[in-house]
This record gives sequence, structure tokens and C-alpha cells, in this order.
Amino acid sequence: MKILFRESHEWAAIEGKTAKIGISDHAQKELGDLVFINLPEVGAEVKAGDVLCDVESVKAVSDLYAPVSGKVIKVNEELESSPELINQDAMGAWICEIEVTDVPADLMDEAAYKDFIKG
Amino acid sequence: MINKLKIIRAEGLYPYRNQAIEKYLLGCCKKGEMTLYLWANDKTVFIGKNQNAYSECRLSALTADGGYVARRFTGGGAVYHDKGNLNFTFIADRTDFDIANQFSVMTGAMRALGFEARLNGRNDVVIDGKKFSGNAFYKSETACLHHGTVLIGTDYSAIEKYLNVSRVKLNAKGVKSVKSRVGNLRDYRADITSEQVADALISALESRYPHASREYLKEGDLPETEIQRLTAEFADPDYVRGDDVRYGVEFEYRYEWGVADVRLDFNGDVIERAKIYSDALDTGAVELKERLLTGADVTKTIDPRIKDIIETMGALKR
Repeated sequence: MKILFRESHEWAAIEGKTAKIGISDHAQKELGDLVFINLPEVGAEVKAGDVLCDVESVKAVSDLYAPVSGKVIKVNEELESSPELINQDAMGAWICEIEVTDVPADLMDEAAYKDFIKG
Repeated sequence: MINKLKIIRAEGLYPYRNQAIEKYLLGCCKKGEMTLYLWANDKTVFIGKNQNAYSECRLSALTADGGYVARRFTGGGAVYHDKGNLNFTFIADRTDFDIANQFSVMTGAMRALGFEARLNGRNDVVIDGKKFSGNAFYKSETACLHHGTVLIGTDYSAIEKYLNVSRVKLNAKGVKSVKSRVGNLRDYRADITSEQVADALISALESRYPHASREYLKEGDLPETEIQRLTAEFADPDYVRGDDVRYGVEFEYRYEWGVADVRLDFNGDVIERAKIYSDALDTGAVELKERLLTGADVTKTIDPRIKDIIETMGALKR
């Protein structure tokens, strides 16, 4: 398994042909306590960089972007009633699973992402 | 760095068109530009993006009185708008967006008008501990938006009437509203007008960015077909109601026939399930009520045998 990050703070944990998608711990801290998530639809085709879904925190409504291209094959329904799981464990609380057709070259590995958020 | 200000005031009070203009302006957002949009709506309950319209406001009372329900694309709880409320919207690129700075423009404008306004928590601006401005935010990868209300002379009785400040327990998926103690600017200064507040906001922004160029737009400068397309989107009943319209209502009441603990599951205006826990001796009559309640549409004519239940629910919700 390989974990890659997008500049907009989503991660993709790629294993074979599928990837679980979530947001980074840095992103969950920036967003603050999540109160709602609109999950993507199963079956939706997304292109890397498209709006994947959105979350509402106590601070704002924010769009999340697809780090990879492909088809949404599963969503983590547990988050619908408990979006706070993302705050508790951002790297564990996956949002959806994508059958990957393309991984953009500009995604970062964990070390590069850590440097990126340090600025 | 902000080098251009775009300033526009809505010319009408129709909420969906005003929302359409806001969304259009968000889509035009460019680096280096700050947009200030000022707008007011007529009689509108303005719910948060992820709220249940049915559980957050008295939909039927509002629509019967010619009011509107509108869903915004920012989060938070339901608020009531009328001509006595002015809305402001700041739009900027993510790199120029600075919530603290925008708040200081807003509180600066209030100070210029003689109001000691201060921030309370992250979303409210208060005078004397009373909220007169609620704020909400939207962020995309590029464009960001900060909008808020300014209560100037809003009808307090309408707030009480249309927002569920409820003694009934409501269960619904979605973000719940929190009741706040609100105040109008007019309570502190009787002659204040929306016009003055709008002018003060514009002046405060201009003096924050004295070197930025200024563009004053009119609705007529915007692409009318696009605005109309967006207006239809915001007015679409499916968008306003949302796709999850189920919610539950629970209340207790002492009727002539006994004390009842009533649980109703709604789908929109229709009761899908009804359960009454009661100490009534006539259990047959209670079961009949449950049967009649199931499937009843509360906006239509109600069977006299369940009128008491529907009426207490309405009264308690108020």
C-alpha cells in the first residue's frame, strides 16, 4: 500500500487497483470539529482535482477534492452519523473507495507532504 | 494582496435571486480582488446547507403567510430574514481571504455608526451580549466566501413564529440550530437604517484598502440568463427541502383523556408512523388516534378525532 497526498490535503491509500480516500490530520485540524459530511455517490466517476464531496465544520463548509481519478465503489456510511471520526483519526477514517484509473504525478508521499505543510 | 474592490448591492428582495447573484459573484472570484455584496430578503427562513427544513422552521405557517424558505450553501443554523435585516458577503481568493480582517471591517463599520460591536465565539457579533450578526463561511480550493447578517429592525415576533424554538423534541439528521438571544441595532439607535449600515460597510472596506481600485456594479451589469438559471436552482423545491426530509417529533401533553407521550415520524408533511404512550383508560380510542395519525398530511384537512394531537404539536412547536 502506498499513501499519497494532494496539495489540498486529501490522501489516497492505493492498494492494487483501488484507493481509499480521506483527509490529512493537518486538514482536520484546520477545519475544526466536523458536524456533517455529504458523502460522494457510489458509482460516480471522478477526475483527479474534481470536487469529490463536501464537509461542514463548526468553521465552514469546505469542498474536498479527488486526489485520483476513477469510480467511487464504496463510501464509509459510518461517517454520516459520526463525522467526528475524521477529527479523531483522520488517517484511519476513510471517506470513500475509488477504483483507480489514473494517479496524477504531482501527488506527494508522506515526507514531501510533511515538508509542504511546514511551508 | 487586494488591489481591486468590487462592490454591488442587490436591487430586489427575492431571496433566490439574491442567492443566485451571490453564487455568480463567487464564481467570478479572482486573485487580488475582494467583492462586497450587500443584500436583503423579504420574509425568509434561511437554513444552513445541511439542515432539515421541516424540523428547523414552521414551513406551513411561513408559506401560508407568503414567506420563503431558502437553503444557503454555507453551514450553521437557521436564521430569519426580512427587510429589517441586511446581509453582507465578502468573496476573495483563498490566498486573500482573511476572516479576522473581514470581521474587523464589519466591526469597524459598526463602530463608525456608534455601536460597540465585538466578536463572540467564531461566528457571532454581539452588542451587550446580544447577537445582531451571525456569520458563515464557504471554502473551495480557490474561491472563499464569508457572509453574515446584520439585524437592524427585524420583526422579533416573526423570528419566534417561524423558527422552531421548540418545546417539542425533534429528531432529524442534519445540523441543529442553536437559539441565541438576538438584538436589533434599532434597539440602541432608533433612527438607524439599512442604507446607513450598507454605506458604513462600504466605507470601512474602502478605508481598509485605500489604494485598491474600485468597481461599483449594478445587477444590470451581470449576465441575466446566468443569474436566472442560478435563481431557478435556489428556488427548486427539491433543493430547498433537501433529499432527506424524514424527522421525528416527540412531546408530552396532558389531555382530557389522559397524559400522552406522542412520537411521530414525519416524511415531509406526512406522518409515516405514530405511537402514543398513554395512561388513558380507553385504549381503543388511543389506538384509533394512532391509526388516523398514520398517513395524515398535516397541511391538509385533519380528521377531528386527531385534531387535538396536531394542534398541541403546532402550539408546542411555537
